[in-house]
Amino acid sequence: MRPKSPSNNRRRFGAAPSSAGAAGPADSDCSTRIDPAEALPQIQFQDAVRQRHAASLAVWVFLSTEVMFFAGLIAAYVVYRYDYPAAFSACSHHLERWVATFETADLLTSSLFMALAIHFIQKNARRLSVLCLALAFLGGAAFLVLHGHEYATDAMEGALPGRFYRLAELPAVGAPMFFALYFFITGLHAIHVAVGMGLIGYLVVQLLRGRYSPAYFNPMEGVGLYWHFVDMVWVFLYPLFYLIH
Amino acid sequence: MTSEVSARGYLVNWIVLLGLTALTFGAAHVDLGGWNTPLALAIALTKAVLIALVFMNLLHASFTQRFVLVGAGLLVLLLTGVVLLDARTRFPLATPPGSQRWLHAHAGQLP
Repeated sequence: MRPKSPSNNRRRFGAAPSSAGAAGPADSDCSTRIDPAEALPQIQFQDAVRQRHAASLAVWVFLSTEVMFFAGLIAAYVVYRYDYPAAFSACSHHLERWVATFETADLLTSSLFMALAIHFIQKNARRLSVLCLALAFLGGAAFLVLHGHEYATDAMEGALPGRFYRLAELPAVGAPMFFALYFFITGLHAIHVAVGMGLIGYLVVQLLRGRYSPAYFNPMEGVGLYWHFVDMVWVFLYPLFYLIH
Repeated sequence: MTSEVSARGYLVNWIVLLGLTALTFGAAHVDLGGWNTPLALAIALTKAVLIALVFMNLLHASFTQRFVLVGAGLLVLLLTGVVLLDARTRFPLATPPGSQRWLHAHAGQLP
């Protein structure tokens, strides 16, 4: 539902000459020229700033529901850790701490590249922005590979959830619950990483097609917020599962 | 909305976050009595706040955006806090068999 009338377009560009200039014909480093309507506020918004604000607020509201989604699982973790403190500690020591620490650093680095990608698109440095998005994507991929390695090791040892548990060296009471929570919560987080990688891939394609400019990059900002949120969840899961003393 | 963090600001934030990760990893290998978990969670909270303020640009965000996140955080505290309170004060019959509280409760009932 974009404003179609040319007079309307002129009015919008007239109201914000600096943004319009950046999205206009000066942008020649991409094969496809930007559709000028893409940079405009949609019909229901007074200006581009309000549209950007509304888009970002919607993502924040979505993320707050995601917070509650993970909080329910963390609450389950709190109850069972309170019930089986010794078993949870033993299981935590069984996990690969170094790998998890590297995964934490990897996600933080990926978050940095995502923030830089949004920073560079605002400076109209599209190639740098694409490069940063690609690096953020690689960070997500590296995380999933390392996590897959962890899951494979645990599964081969028999450290599996509930009744599938068959690892003799850890306490038989409590450990199956730890691994049930571990696989479910970290698995759900890994699905979020995979979804985020898909979204970053979409951003790269759209960026290469010249869809984003300093005047319009709301989708990048939204995906960026989601990607940082996924990182934030891991920041809590890391000490809860891997660093129990 | 236009006053964003500089690239240098993002880099500094990233280095601080990596430093805090190293700190929490090191602290997990030192016996602090009962303070290991609170310290680890405090560091995690600090990292989360840094991610929100700098990477997610909450420093330059509007009141409504901050309000949404703070509201969600308060609900998380309420949920986990009340659940923990319930777990600590639940009567013995409702505890799962084999758990520490169950063993404790049943040891107390033996003649």
